[in-house]
Amino acid sequence: MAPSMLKLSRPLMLVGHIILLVTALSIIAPLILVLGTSFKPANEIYGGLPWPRKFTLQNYYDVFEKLPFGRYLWNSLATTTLRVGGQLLIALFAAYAFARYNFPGRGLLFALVLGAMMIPPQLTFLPIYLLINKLGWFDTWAGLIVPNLAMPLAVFLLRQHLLAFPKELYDAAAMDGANELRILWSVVLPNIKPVMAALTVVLFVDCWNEYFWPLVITETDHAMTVQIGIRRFLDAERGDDLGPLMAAVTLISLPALAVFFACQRQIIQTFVSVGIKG
Amino acid sequence: MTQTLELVATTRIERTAARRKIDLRPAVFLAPFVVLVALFTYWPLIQLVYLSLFKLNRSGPDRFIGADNFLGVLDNAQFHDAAYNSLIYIFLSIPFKVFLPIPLAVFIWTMGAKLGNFYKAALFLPTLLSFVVVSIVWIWMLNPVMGLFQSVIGPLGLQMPSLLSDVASAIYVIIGVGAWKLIGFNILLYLAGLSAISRDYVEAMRLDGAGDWVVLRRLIVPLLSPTILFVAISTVVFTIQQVFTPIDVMTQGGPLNSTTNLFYLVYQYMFESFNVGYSAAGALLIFLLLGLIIAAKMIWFEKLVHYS
Amino acid sequence: MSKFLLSAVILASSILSAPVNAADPVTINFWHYQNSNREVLTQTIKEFEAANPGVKVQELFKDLTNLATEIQAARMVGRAPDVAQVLARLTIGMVETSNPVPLERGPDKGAFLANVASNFLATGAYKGSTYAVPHSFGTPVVYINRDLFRAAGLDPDKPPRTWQELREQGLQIKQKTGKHAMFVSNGGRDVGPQQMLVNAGANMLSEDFSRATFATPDAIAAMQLWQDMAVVDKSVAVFTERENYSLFMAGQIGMMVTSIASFQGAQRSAKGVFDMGVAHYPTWGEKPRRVPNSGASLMIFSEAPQRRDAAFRFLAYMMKPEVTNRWAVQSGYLPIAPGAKNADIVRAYVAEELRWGVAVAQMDDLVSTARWPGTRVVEIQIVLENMVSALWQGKGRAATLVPAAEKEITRLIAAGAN
Repeated sequence: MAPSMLKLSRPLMLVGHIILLVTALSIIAPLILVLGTSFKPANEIYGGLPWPRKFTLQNYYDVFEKLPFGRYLWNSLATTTLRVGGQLLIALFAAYAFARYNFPGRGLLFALVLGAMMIPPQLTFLPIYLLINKLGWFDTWAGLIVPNLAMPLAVFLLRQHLLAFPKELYDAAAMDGANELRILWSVVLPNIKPVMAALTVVLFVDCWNEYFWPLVITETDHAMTVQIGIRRFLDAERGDDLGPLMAAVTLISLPALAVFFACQRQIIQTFVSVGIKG
Repeated sequence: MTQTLELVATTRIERTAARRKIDLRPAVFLAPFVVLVALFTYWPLIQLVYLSLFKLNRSGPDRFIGADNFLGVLDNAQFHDAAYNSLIYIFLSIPFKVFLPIPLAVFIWTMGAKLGNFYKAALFLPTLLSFVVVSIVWIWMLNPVMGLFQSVIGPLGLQMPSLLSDVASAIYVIIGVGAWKLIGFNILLYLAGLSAISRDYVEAMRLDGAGDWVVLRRLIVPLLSPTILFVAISTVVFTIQQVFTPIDVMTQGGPLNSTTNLFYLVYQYMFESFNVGYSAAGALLIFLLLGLIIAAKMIWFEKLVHYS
Repeated sequence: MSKFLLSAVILASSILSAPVNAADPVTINFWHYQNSNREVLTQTIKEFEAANPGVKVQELFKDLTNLATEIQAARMVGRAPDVAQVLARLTIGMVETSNPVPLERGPDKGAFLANVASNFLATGAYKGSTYAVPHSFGTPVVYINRDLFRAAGLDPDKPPRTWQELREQGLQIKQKTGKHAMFVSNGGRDVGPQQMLVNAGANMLSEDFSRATFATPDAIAAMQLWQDMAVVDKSVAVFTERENYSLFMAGQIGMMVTSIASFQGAQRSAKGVFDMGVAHYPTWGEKPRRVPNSGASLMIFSEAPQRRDAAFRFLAYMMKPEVTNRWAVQSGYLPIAPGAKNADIVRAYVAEELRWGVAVAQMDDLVSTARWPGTRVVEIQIVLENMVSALWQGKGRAATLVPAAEKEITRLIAAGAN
């Protein structure tokens, strides 16, 4: 991580620690409850104690026994990876176009990007359903991936960062005869590593936790994802099966956690460390 | 004088030349994105407009009824509450989701690697969990008889109120849980924004004798403003859909409509009422409302950035 | 590479040119929302397939919240499921939007419907036809924390027979143990209140589905009793649904009024925590018990004649008394066959699990849940839900709130009519 650049006064730092510690505690307490419950037998779940009296792994067995959990995990991992990769690339291209060029209709087009964020698939369920039917994408990976490849949020975030990017850098690179892709790859990308890393985490988590879209698209175990899988333990009519639910949630958080740790090193890196001064 | 004229003339020539030779590069870079958004977002939206103007029968849109669906939505007894609550959700989320993460990110940024990483990871954890489970766990924690909070304040002789079944407090619980889930996300975005701030600037200001507060106010906040704008706008856009899950799991919109919002309402029309026309009309109303808030916000923000 | 290509082409052409053989099995789709019972269901399907070599059933799990709308959308693009589980209260909405097949149009002219008790079958009848057969039905019962009953000096073997008794016993639990006496699950917004109103003798809807009719003097009195329990006795737990369920399962509430469908889950959670009993849904004074069902029916949506025939064969199989009785015993839902109470398999299970037997004994008391017509169903349900919230919270008396809700629902029915 970069050396600290702002030396805050001691009292201020103390305040900072206190706020962060309280926030962290408010986060860790519920998480202990999730983890603790995942090891509880059914009759302890509503007991009010955060951890089990009688430790059991039964909930974890149940996850694998009651669901083709491995298959779901594979579907989730593969589609999320493909989708996030595509999203990053497509968003980077679009954001680059918005930040680098001045073209007619740019403002309008960008407003449409912002507008697209306001239309989640829940609101357009019926037209989307008809469209997916025309494309024949029900119960396929394509149906899970392609309709979500364009991520307005990502374009918006990257554009915000690219706007702060010194124009001289593009021009210098262009002067050296580098083509646009080359500029994007070897000049722009290294300098926006932190935001790309943050965005990777954000997109990954977003896709990983998505419920509604896979619910519309998938029909069989062939394409079902882990989030659809865990809803099997929720049953409004007959009572939720919270032990296996918590076990499943603990398990499916792990890949997202791994992505977070893989990316987080990048997130605080600075321009300074890459050797470019603004 | 003539020199200036010449200059003007050449610029004009250059400009017309540029206009004649259309630069295709932005089009190429934008093409994949534009095609996908047009097909999977705007085409359904256009159909939504169409559906909102028709009465649906068994095989599809059937009879043109003009504004009837919109009037029907507005006539809904829950619409008024849902619209009001939507504004509460959006505006009360802003301090927690947009502003609170700024100092937290700055604190983390200035810390040593070890502690910084610990906080960063801890604060990011809620983002990783399924929101259904997060909501269930918060219900347990807030349980007035045997929740975590009650077990802390109980020995002091205090009684935890039932926050979720009280009309006066339920919405704040949901706003809080929504913010809790997202705070790590936004801290991460701010950290990415902070990473673009060069050490030279800070050092230069230091040499001028600037204190922490001045550096924060004069340098960090302005340089962070593109990220702040981003977070602010995504908060406006996503809050009422983001709280859908906690509403559904914790209160189902109650008690007495105190936690419902427009997104939840539209969802109910679509999935619990067979009412495609109303859900389409409601969706367009949401679109309009958010668009207005964002436009207002952009204008306000432009001014703010200008003055500081 | 070329070898691979070649074999791919051969494979593809062999698939494309495969002759359509009349003996080829028809595959029908069956959508359902059964989670924990999925294995029981798939077992039944296997048995059906073994008995009907010409038909294959592809069962698909669907989320209950989206199920009805998904059928509606699928119907529009011609990929509707052949057979699907639909909440009984949505029957009319499905008929209006999704063209289910009237079951009398089957090859046997609906003879298989004789395998369903007539009061159960009424839940699927609309405008002179039967569109749905009951499948996963529940009836409300009172789950009892027998330990708390004892602690309050009550006899857990003499649970309240009437609501009036329930109020008295509840007050005693509250006073002796300091704990809440009861909560009523809303069962999905309006199911809980409906059961109370109908049990007090009211009908939710007029015969022609055009107006709400539940504000009868007895129904108002029943609602007032609820309010008095909450506001005067303070014996009702007025928390959210999930909070209440957790509290009951932790032994903190004396009685839970909800569907028998919760039995197996509740039994698992209560094991070793407290001694759980099940009692009949209390009657309103000396009036006979009338309890609206909860849960789902099966409907047919196939269009192609061949598939429709297969769907009918499947449905007829699913309605065989031996199949429905076994399904009930294994899943914990109600049996639906006429005289199911006396079937061996049901009697054997009741003998073993008396608490479930309470629900079976309520079979004859079952009436149809309110099937709200029109396109403003959720609004209607929320009006009822809010009416009860307002009652619990003491915001106005039943004598004003109940008729006001009735009036508003009648208005919504008219406004949502086509």
